[in-house]
Amino acid sequence: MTDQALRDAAPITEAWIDSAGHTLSEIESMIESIASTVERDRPSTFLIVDRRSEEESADLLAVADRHAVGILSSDPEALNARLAKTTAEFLIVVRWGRPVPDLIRRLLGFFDRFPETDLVYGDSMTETGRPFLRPAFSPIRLRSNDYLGPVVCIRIDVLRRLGGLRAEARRAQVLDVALRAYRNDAVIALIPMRLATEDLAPGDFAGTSDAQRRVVESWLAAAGIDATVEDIKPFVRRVRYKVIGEPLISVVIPTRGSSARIGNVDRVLVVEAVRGIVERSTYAHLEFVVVADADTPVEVVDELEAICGDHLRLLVWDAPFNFSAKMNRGAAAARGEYLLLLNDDVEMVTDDSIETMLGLAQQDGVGIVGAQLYFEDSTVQHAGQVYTGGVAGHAAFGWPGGRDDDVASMITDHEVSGVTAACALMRRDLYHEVGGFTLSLPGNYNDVDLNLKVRMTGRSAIFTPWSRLYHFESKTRDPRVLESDLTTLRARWARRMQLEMYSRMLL
Amino acid sequence: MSVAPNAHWSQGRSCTELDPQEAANESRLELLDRVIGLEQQLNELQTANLLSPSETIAVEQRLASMHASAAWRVGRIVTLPLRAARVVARRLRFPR
Repeated sequence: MTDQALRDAAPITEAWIDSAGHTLSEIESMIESIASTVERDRPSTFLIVDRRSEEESADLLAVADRHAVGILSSDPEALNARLAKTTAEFLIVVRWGRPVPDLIRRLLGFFDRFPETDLVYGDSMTETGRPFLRPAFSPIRLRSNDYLGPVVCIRIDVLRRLGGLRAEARRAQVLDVALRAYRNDAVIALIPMRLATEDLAPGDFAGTSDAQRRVVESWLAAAGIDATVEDIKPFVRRVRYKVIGEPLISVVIPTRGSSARIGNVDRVLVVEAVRGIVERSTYAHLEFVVVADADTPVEVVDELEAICGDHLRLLVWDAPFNFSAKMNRGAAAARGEYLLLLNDDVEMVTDDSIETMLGLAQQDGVGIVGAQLYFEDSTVQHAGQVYTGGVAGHAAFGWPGGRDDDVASMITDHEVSGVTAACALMRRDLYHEVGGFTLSLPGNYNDVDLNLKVRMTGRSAIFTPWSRLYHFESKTRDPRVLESDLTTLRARWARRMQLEMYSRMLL
Repeated sequence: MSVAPNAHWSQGRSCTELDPQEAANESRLELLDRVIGLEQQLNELQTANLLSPSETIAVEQRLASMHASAAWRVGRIVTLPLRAARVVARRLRFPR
């Protein structure tokens, strides 16, 4: 047989099944799932074996032998040696769960159709049939949570170009490869199809969580990102980004100086919103740009001046209501490098809210950052926007505090379709680049339009659950949505608003 | 009895209006948004596929599940006579 014929005969996929932390029966089940693939598609299959007791190793070897599966040591040198030797084009890593019988077809079909793709992952399902829908590729989320799931497939030439597997990333190789691939401009994509069935309650097997944290720390250091990583729970981390420099932030607040009764106390909304920031925010380099209706009570303005002193710029609004125009007026007068777009009916809960948002906004590729907002009764008002079927809504709307989805969306910074302008931070020059808020949407959906304009520049919208505020929206907002608003929005973005790809578990 | 006129908060306060440079900024925002909005409306009207690979698959999945749904099948059955009548009418009107 010639070399060419040998290559033609060799499978173009190679599957590595990770045995770490799994029982013998789980491993056998994973192997059988791969073995059930039709013979023509069947990959060369290897079982990655960590250091185990002699007895366990003997059992594993017997299982591997029974299914004609090769054995690979989990030592990176051994894995890299195999990578150098293989003639396969694609490496499939099965980390847990049972791959679907037509896994190879689904993977290769995707790569054939979208040849620009380098690394893919997909959805899964629980044993009870509950779907586990993963988000579109989200590099900020990946730092906090390896959400890539049980099956990941990468082009082997891409992996070789990345330098193979790193010894330091032992037990978190897939996360390490994905982070490095992203940094090297590889195209990473979600296949929104079920690739495996899995148990949704994995333990922290073989110290994986620690290994993942170390990988993220090392990746951040290599990328020159000054940040600390804190464990929130197994497999979930909070990355605290250190603010670069001390940029001036202009807090732009449109108001008419209205009051409301909240918690049995009458309060002037804008005054309390500003007071909360001035008195409690741990980030101090701020200016307040308040765009106030002409009929705002004088005593409200007096109080704002008393609270803010020299850090206040007051602008008068003497025209019919137009939230977008008021925000634009404030942004036009703002001097800060960043704008914090803020409604007047909010109250800061976490004192480091502004730093948290700023740290994220300073990351490469991030366009706009939004916070977690609560109603007065502490149910969730906003955890990112969701766009589906041509309409926009809020993720996790009305959820009780503490509830989460299966990809830890409520405790990880992550990419979203958009964020509400009730509290959003972005660079001032970007705001000007995209034309700010559209005057065509004076009351509703203007933030949806802004987010989509930001995302059209290639930047992302990020939601952070670590910046929390109360939003007393129902106290002040006219909930009516005009048909003309929807028509205007859809004329620009209808096709961009059909599918929610980031908060698929929060719909 | 005379009623005192409402005091306007901006009376007696300086810089409550935009200066010329700021006013230009404000106008530029509006203009830019109009341009971007029109460009975007044109994009919406183009037939080019705007979907990413993941979105393409998701759309196809959704379409497939809709076609497989009971509501779709029942609808096809219910409208079958109407669709058949249309075909017959068309053939009668435009015989080959």
